[in-house]
Amino acid sequence: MEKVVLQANRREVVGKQVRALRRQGLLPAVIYGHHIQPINIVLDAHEAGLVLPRLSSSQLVVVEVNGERHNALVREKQRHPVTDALIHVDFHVVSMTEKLRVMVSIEFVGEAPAVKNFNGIVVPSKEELEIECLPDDLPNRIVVDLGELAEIGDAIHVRDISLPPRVTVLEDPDEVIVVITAPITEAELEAAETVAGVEPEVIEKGKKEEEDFD
Amino acid sequence: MLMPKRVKWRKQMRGRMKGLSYRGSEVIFGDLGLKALEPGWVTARQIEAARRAIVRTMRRRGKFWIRIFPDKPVTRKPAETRMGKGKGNVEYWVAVVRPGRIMFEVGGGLPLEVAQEALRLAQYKFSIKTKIVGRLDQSGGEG
Repeated sequence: MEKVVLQANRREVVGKQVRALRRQGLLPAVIYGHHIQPINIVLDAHEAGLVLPRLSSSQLVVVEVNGERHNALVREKQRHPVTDALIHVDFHVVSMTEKLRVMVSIEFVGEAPAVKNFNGIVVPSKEELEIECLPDDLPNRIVVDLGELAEIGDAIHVRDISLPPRVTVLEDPDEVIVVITAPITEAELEAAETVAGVEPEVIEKGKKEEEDFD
Repeated sequence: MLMPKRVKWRKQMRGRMKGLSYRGSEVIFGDLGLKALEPGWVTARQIEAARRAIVRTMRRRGKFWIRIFPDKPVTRKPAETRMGKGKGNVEYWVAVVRPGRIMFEVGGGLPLEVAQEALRLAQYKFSIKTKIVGRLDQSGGEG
């Protein structure tokens, strides 16, 4: 897969003044890593907005800062709470010769027969797996096929995941990634609906003080 | 209806709802979520009504998450009472919601159309504007 290249420029403006950059259609970002001093940069917000949401946390990008190329991972994307627009990005520069420990996202594909046949509920307990490998061997995401989950109680564990060679999983092989649980029964549903509103218990002296007023 | 089991103080002051919900503003458990677009008090009654709407639409498929909790008591004085003589009685409980807050999430293998319909019906139960949002990206290093 070809690498994504992002054009960036150095940025002198820091702090709250970066709001002015955002108004001009620029996206403030920072690039840092083991062997380099942190550099404040700006990207084109439109271009970055098209590319960055499709990148996973384990996908290498090339950030070109004034002609200087850096291989990096997207470490953090800050978004506006309401509009979800990108407001800042962190890039982590990686050395191509050093092994990395990265959280790789898990993608669930297919439909579990247990959902179709028994109304089972798919409960993912892991969204990411920690792996160790060289940057060149990094998988973008780990694909987990739900098609094997035929019955309620069936689960996929870390040990069941097939990964490319030269990639080591750093998690417990017995940990569950996704499990099928039974649907809520009518009785449970009713019990949840008929929870009576009970007066909360007051801790400490709140009650005493109130009585003093009377 | 939802309310705390134990509280430190029985009554609270109203407080301010400045700013945005920087925490709890992304869908993390399910596939779709209901995001608040305005600040406001969401009552336990509204949460319960929305929960019922979601449960009925889901018909025992999938899973849902309530991401807000009404932990703030609201007091009211009885009708035709003169002012003074202390603060009124606790009438109901509210969750303080700021813009951006994900209030409900649905998922767990639920078909997308059903999830959308469940949240659409839940939207009518709130006194604040909301929108249905999905996951931003599979993972971008967030969280």
